[in-house]
Amino acid sequence: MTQLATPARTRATDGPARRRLRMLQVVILAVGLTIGARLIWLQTAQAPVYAAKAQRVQTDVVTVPAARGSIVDRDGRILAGNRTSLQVAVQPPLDDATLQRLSELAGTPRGRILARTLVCGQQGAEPGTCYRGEPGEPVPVLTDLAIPRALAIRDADLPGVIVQQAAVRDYPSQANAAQLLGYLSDGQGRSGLEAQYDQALRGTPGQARRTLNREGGSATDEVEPALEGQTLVTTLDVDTQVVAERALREAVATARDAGYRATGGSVVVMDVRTGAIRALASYPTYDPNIWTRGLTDAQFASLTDEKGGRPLVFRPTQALMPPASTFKPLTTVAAEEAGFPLDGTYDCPSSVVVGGQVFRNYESRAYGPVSLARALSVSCDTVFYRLGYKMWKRDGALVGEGAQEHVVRTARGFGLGSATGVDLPGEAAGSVPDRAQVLAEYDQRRDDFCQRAEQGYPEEPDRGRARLLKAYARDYCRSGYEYKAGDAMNTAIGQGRTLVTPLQMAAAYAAIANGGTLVTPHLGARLQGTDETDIEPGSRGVAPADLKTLAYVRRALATTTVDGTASGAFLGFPLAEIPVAAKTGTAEVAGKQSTSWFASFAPADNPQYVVIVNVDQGGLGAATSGPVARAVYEELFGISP
Amino acid sequence: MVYSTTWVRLIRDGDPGGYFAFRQILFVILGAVAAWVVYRLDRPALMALAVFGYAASVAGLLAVLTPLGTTINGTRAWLTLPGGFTLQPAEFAKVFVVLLAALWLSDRRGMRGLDDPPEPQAVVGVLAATGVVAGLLLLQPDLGSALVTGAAVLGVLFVAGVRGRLLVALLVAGALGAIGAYAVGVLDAYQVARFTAFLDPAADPQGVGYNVQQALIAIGTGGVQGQGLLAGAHTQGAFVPYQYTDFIFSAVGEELGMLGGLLVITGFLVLLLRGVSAAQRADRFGALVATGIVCWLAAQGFENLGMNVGLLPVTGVPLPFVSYGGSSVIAAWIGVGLLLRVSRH
Repeated sequence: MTQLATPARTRATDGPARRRLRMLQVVILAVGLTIGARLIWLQTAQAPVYAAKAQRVQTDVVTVPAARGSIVDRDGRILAGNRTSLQVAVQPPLDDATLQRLSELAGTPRGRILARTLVCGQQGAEPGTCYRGEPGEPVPVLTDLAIPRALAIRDADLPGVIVQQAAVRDYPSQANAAQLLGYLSDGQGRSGLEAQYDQALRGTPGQARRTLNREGGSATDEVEPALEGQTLVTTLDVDTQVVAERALREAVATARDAGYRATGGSVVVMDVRTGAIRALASYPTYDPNIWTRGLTDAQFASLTDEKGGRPLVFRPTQALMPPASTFKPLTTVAAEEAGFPLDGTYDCPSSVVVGGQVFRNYESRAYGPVSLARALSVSCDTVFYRLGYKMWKRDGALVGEGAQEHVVRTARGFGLGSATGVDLPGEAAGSVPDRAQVLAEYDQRRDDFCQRAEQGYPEEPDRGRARLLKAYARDYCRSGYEYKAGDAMNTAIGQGRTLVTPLQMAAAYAAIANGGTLVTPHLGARLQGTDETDIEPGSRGVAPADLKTLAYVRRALATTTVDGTASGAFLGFPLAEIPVAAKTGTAEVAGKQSTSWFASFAPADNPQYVVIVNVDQGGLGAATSGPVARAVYEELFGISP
Repeated sequence: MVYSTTWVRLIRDGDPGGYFAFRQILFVILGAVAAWVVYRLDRPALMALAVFGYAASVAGLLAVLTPLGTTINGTRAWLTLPGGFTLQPAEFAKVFVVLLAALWLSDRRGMRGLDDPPEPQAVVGVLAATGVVAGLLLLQPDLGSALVTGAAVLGVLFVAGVRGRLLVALLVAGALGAIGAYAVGVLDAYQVARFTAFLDPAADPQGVGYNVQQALIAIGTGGVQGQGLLAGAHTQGAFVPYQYTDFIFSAVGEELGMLGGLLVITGFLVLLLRGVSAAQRADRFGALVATGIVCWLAAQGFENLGMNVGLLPVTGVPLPFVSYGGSSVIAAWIGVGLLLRVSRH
């Protein structure tokens, strides 16, 4: 190794270079001390500030969702339960590359994923697809992923994309009951029983304090356990529900084969003594699983489409229609109240003429002098037209000051025209208008009708219907201020302005069957969980009818299936063991095909169940709806067809 | 500290927790051997090493831009070696640039006095050599290493007697160069954003300010005594990104507290100040070599410490001797070998 330089020459003197080196020393010292000072300041004066920040960053209180309670039938068979599903949730907003990659891995179009990430109410958010959960939480965008897909997405480790297990609603029973059970959206019940009993089913979410880790891992510290949702035990019977749904579906198909439009229908099966509902079927319906998979726009549109019969509508509690002849037992009760003897004889001609207007019997049949019971059994319109006319006259005819309104009062007394209080959201009330209401409505609508009387209905595509409506408008404009005999007569046979739901008819018939008690139709029986609570249906009092009249009506209705209008539908049914009381009905609505009604209870001598069937534009009550009721009774009483 | 900042993550991934720490020990041994070799070299050998080392560094910096290079965290700065090792030419380039500068700015015999003005052609040569390296670093892009290299060479030129006006001109030229690099798209917007985020880290705590904010929280919660090795909640929770490389000082601050942090700063200051005093006692060549090494370590070390405590922009340079990384550790130890080599005389 050679000497670098001689000591004498190399030793730096106090020259400029040495000064520069000393400057360098000063700079280094100054910077070092500055950083040191900053460190001391951060770790002493600022320490509490950063400790608080650290606490916020490192821990996060997260909500642990509670498992949703099941909905079961009276025997504990699950109608709506839970199963685990692989789900992808995202923390919006997603960048384009991530969205693209996720779309490829999931095999789902980008647009669909993007639509799901929008929070409802946000610009561009669509009902049915937008997210309705808590803002700030990861938004579930894909549910029910196949395991290989889920693993591929997880392994791709996309920023803001989480693959997790989630509980989704499962419908293991054979019953459809879609609108009855309702649906969930983002963990909340939005309709049906899911909405009605949401609070109990949802349980109480727990809280977990997580010590977070930036890379996604976490250690859970303290957990307040989630309280699992309660199980809703319903009054439903899965077997009956399945039969009711199937029979209704078949009836619709049969009616369509016979040339009817048969746009929808419903079945109500209820215990006459308690109001406990055994089955509620609605047609058309839909697959309840579509909600868990995330709706497409097209699916949502089809659920609310008028032409498709609006499957979201739950017809037993939401469809309103005139009760037609099924109303006649109530007219009978009203007539007895008004002083028309039950043991009297009433003429049943083929038609009656009032004020120059002809009111015909169905197919203009005449039965001659009959009892009220026979009139009910064969559904003689002219007998009830006349009763309606006579009661109208007694009430003061056109004047109507201080009118008794026997028919309206009785109908309302049996619960028609107001909600039954069933434990389902969105029940329709219907209406049974009396004179005063009819006239008040006329005051309100007169101008509109008089205008229509001149201009007609140019927007109505059906020319015939437009002509009919114009004629009505002209008539209404001219003399709508009078409560005419025809109004009262139509009311007496369940036509006209009276609008009811199938469930209201079920409650009214239950009162006829059980001796006058107005039961509250209900589906919830018990809530089971850590403790058990019975669900008590509210009381609605007693129908205004004496026991003798009700017994008379029951006996009368029992003959309908033997030699009355429903005898064909019950041919071969063991009526000797299980007598079935029934009333058929065929409601006429202007411009539409007739609506088929079948109201019944059984056994007629000791009633247990009421069964109400109706099919919109389904034709005759006996022909279309009768067989549905029969199928239900066969199931209820274990009769093999 | 490397162990403390990596074991949790490793174990969670099912790897042995000491993987990075073990490798770091291996790098330190390799670095010490390299330091000993450098310490033993005579002047012609050093001359050869400077030239060869510089040429190899430039070749390496060119190679990373080819398909041989590997991109990590947006910077194309690594060459893959067999055995799972990677080489970062930038770290070695810094040593050899200052070594080459010191050699050129002293005469061939090393006999010139320290106060003599440098030969103009040598200054031009040094600037050219530095420019090549800095340009290649900006292409990766590695703004931090480019700045550190520039600062180190500026220090050497200053001590070598280059006139103040020229140095100011060089600073201005460097700044203009950086602006130009951004303008033509060599530097990405995020690098600029990251660079300026230190001014107000709370402004965008989830974005560019995130690293700084998390590092400050880690240091702030350390207090005077620290939370204890392996016991820092923020460090062990892996909240600070790149904590075993660029942000290792935040782990020191959290787990060893103010006392540990000041110990690191003091140790660093002692090394640098001893380096300068070695320069004061050395011949022109020795003085310039020591100056270059000191300026390099100071620029890099202070930049790293400064960004950890939120005083300086985030540029992604490792803390010499402490951060994890073979190239960085070995290069720093070569620097130590050179300092010892100078102080021997």
